[in-house]
Amino acid sequence: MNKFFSWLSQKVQGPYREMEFNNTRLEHLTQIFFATSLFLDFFYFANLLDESALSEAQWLWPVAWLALVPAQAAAGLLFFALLLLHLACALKPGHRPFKALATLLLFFLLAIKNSFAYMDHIYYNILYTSFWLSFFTFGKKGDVRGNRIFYVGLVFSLLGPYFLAGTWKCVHLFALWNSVGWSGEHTLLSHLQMFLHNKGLRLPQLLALPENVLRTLWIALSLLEMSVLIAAFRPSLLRITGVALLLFHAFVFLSTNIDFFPTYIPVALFIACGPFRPKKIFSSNHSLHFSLDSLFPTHIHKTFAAISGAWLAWTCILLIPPWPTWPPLEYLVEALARFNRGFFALPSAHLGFVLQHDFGWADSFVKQFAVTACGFTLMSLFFLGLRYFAHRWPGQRSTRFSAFHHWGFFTSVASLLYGQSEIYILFGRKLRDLSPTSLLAVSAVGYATMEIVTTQRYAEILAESSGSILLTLFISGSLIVYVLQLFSKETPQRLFEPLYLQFTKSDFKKDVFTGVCVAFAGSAAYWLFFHLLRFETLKDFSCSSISPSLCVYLKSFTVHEGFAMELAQKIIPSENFRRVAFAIFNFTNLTAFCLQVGALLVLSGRGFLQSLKIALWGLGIALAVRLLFLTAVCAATWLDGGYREITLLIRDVRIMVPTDAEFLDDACIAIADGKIKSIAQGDDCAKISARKTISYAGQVVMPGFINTHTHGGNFLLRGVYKSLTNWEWWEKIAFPLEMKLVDGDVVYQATFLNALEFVASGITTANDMYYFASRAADAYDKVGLRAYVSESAGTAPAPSYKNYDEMFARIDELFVKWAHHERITPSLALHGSYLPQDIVQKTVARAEQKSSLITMHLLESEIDRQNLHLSESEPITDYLKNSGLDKHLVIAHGIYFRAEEIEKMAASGLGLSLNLMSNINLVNRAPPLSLLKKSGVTMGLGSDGAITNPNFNFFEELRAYQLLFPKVFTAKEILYLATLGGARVLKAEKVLGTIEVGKFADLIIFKKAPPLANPPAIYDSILQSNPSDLAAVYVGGEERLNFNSQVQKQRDEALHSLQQLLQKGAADVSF
Amino acid sequence: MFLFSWLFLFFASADTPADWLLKNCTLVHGDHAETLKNKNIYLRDGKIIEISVSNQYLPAKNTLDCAGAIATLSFMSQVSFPQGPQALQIGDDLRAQRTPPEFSAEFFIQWNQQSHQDFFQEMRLVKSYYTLRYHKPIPSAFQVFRMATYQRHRQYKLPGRLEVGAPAELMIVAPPTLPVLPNLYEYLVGMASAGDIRAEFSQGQRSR
Repeated sequence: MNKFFSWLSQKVQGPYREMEFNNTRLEHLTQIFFATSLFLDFFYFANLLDESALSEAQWLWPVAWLALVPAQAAAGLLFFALLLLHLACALKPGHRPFKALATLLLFFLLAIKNSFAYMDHIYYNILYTSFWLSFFTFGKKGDVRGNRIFYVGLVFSLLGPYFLAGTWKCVHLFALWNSVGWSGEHTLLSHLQMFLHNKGLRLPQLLALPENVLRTLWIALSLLEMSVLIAAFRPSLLRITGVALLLFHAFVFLSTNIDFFPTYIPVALFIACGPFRPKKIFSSNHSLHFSLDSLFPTHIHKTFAAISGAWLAWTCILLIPPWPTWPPLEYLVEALARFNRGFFALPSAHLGFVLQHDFGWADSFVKQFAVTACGFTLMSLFFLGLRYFAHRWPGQRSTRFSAFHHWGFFTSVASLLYGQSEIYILFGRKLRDLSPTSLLAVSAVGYATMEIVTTQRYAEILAESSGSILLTLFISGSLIVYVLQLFSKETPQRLFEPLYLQFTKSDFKKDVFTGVCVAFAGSAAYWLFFHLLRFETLKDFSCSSISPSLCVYLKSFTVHEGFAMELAQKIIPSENFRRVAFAIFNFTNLTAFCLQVGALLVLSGRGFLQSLKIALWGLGIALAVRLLFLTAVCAATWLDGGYREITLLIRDVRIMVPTDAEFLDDACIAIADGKIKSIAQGDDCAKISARKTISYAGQVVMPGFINTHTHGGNFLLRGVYKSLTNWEWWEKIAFPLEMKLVDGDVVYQATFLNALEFVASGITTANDMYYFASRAADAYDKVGLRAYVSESAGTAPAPSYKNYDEMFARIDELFVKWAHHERITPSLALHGSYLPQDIVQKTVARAEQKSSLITMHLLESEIDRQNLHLSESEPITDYLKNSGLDKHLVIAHGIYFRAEEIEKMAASGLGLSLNLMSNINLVNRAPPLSLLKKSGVTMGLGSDGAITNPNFNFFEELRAYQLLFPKVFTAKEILYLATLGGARVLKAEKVLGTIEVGKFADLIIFKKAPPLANPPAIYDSILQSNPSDLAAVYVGGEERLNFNSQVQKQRDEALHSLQQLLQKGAADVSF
Repeated sequence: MFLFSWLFLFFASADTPADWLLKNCTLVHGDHAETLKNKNIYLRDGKIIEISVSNQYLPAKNTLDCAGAIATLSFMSQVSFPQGPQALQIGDDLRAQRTPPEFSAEFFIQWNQQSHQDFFQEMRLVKSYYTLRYHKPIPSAFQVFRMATYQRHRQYKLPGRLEVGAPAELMIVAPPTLPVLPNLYEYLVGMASAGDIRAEFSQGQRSR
């Protein structure tokens, strides 16, 4: 084996080291290639096409298979070819521990990144920093110019986020200030914050300062954060700024959790106490080609570095949601499990390294790999055992945990190979002989291989594959270089050394300038390619249109993405102007990117214009990649019969339509973008070309049911109703149980289960009010239901808030997070008439501001008139009008309306949600249905929560109206109430409630044709159906009834979790 | 007690094996509100021959593990049944827009099988109708369940409850998914549906 590598090494190394570079054309070529490779952000290939876009664009799949599978195979082959080449160089091991450490760090952080499902911007910067470190270590001793650039780049990488975070906070200040609560269910620190808040120890509570003072303080501190970057160039200010930043974080922690990222703490520590010696760095007598001692020159520095490192590790762990609260072992196990790829491969590889270098035992590749593999296997088994144990730990309520680690083992194996190859590459050769490009290539291929090997889902594989095309190009380039090295006397090797080594003439300002450019180039390149490859169109106006660099950071905060969008819409209210602005911004972005990369290439010492020319070449190649991809897409699409706008064609159905015809036989529904594009009959259907066609053989299609009032989180307490008056029942039974048992996770799980039952019953839209509304929205989104979701304003404290300020903070967060979701609509809710009038008014103000609905329990009992202090003759409708509620209100229940009030209701267009079975279960009356109908009140049907209406058969709810009020409603009228009536109550009749062109494709399809086939009898037949009679339920053109095994699994886990919770709770709570 | 039970099983095991062993069932008795967990029910020759709690099982030709599911009286819906003065045909009455009679606990629920609804829904309809009519919690879930089972069994001169010696007319119903409701009559009347019936036994043999 060694002989083979030796032979190969000699062949590869060749005589090129002594050759001088003098081929300008080749130089340009390789520079362009390097510029291109910078664009191909080396650790983010997987994100070049996002999964959701792929899963929706089914017509892309054949293209992907056609074009990408060979690319994958080629990438794999090339990877192994490269690996062999690198391994061949491993025969002359060098001993460069710090270089190895730097690269290990890079790898370690990559592995950490890979262990997380997401990264926020701080990790980007850590990675860029480590990237810089690894570059730096290639430098020559005493290379002051390189050190300067390194320093500037490092400062920008590390401190840039501070600048932008400060900006970001200033921008978002007024919208987010109210979030003085806590995010609650995420991190241990949040729990600590909650504890402090409960004890009244947070700053706003302690200081009792006026809000304006606090805001001013906040602005000042944000400005301080912005100033860090400036201070970085005033070395004397840097440490002071670092101390101020620590104080700032303390303030953030104690006063609000907005944008509190504990990972910033070590950065602040680093700035305040770290090894920066800017004066010396910029002097000509000092080299940054440091050892550990020069990096951490004193014990104090070492101590702080250790603290920073420990803190960083710990805070990385803390950032993992969801966070089990007890026992502590779960913290450890889950954290370790998520770190597995880094933990497994690195120590194992390190073990091999130590054995080789310190003991001389593992002196061959085979031995070393064997040692490493043994260590790795033992560690894997250990951690797998821990995972297994943790997953079954009593009280384990983390549903993400198990899903996360099924492939962990395989990932770890890939990681091992990857890490091992890196180690060999780095130790096997003198490092400066390695080109950054080849390192990037190995990193990229290793990473992509890891992802491809361990990918779980089809769409993700495609996402990986799209990166593989680029990888292929990338690696091909590397191979070309190798070939050139092998066969050409004019080797480009020197060009692939760190760019700063190529400086021949420069000055300090230029160093700083180029350092800045390099620091930004990485993120700029990523975003450029990200957007180039996303097929972004004008209609996909997003925060990236505001400012590319700001967006890098805004994007990280998905919670606030909606706000950024809102901001953009406020700034540019007209859609057309927004589109124009979008185009201009995009153009500007491209220009800016070109300039940035051009500036980067000034490093080559070739002059700005020359560098710009090279950068444009790089950009051109990048665009060509996209063009190539698009061409492949177009070709495959053409082969597949051309592009089809219609995503789904539902054929051979009998459609219930809101026209005189009532039903269309032998008809079809064409769906595009989730909406009904056209409805046709007979031969016309054959003319419609769709990406997917489903025939339902004459079955009836009707609009999905709209549940106008429910409480999804109530699923937990399904059926806990008693024969008490409404208020007594709620006060004595329901609310205490909720206070005892309900938290964010419970709401998610309960709503998830509830939503699945809704879908099974033909409900496609739900109007939900409960606590932790944002989690409820998560659940509806997961199931794929359309939902109006609101945080229930009720008695404070409630399960999700301690006081009304927190409640409104939650409401505001809900609106920010879900502002532009295609199926989830944030709205408002008032639990009852007992609420203070100022709360009602604040809610109305928000409804005015957001153009939102307000759902309110009203006249479910007669106590409401007393609560509102209404005189005997005063109609409650007058109160609704005077308070401003009437414009937004969905009245839930409305049992005790008087005749004159009903007339006014009808005149004002107030919507009423009828909840008959819930009323009966609470031994209440039915609303005056006859009068309501006669007066023309807008009515829809609701199920109410499972706590009072445990039966999820919505057809049965409908039948109750038919059977119990046979003289009031016909079957057709009841179906109207459950569909278009509901849509009108929710003021969404333009998009919901009927099967019409332009409306959402929310449909239910029956398994068999009803026995009574013609109107009006067919309506009665439909009404006699049950959930088991449904063949499909579509929401926005997506089938939701027959869910996949993943949802099934999540359902089982949620059910198990709630069962355990109730078993625990049963000991303390009397049902 | 354990020794007695074990001895009984020991000696009983020497006898003819049971046709069916329904083990680990939650017994909803049918005649009183009590529900009993972890019961083993033995059927032979069309009758219930033993109900035990022991982990030692009698020999049986067939075994069905209830795994906590509810064993209770069946609705006897397969039997054609003549109408009588005590029959309550609430579904038919309401569909025909006839006013059902005043409530009496002596009613039995007469279910028109031609309907698309299942018997559980019919029970809910009875409860809903009278609750709404009287604006009182009449009848209770237990009363409704008795109307659907006990009274019907009595029409056939059956004991109307699950006990040793009673005819093996019973069904196994899936338990509630969440253990909130200690009163399983509330569950059976308020939430369950025909799809929840896991098995049904008539004359001692499995019919479903």
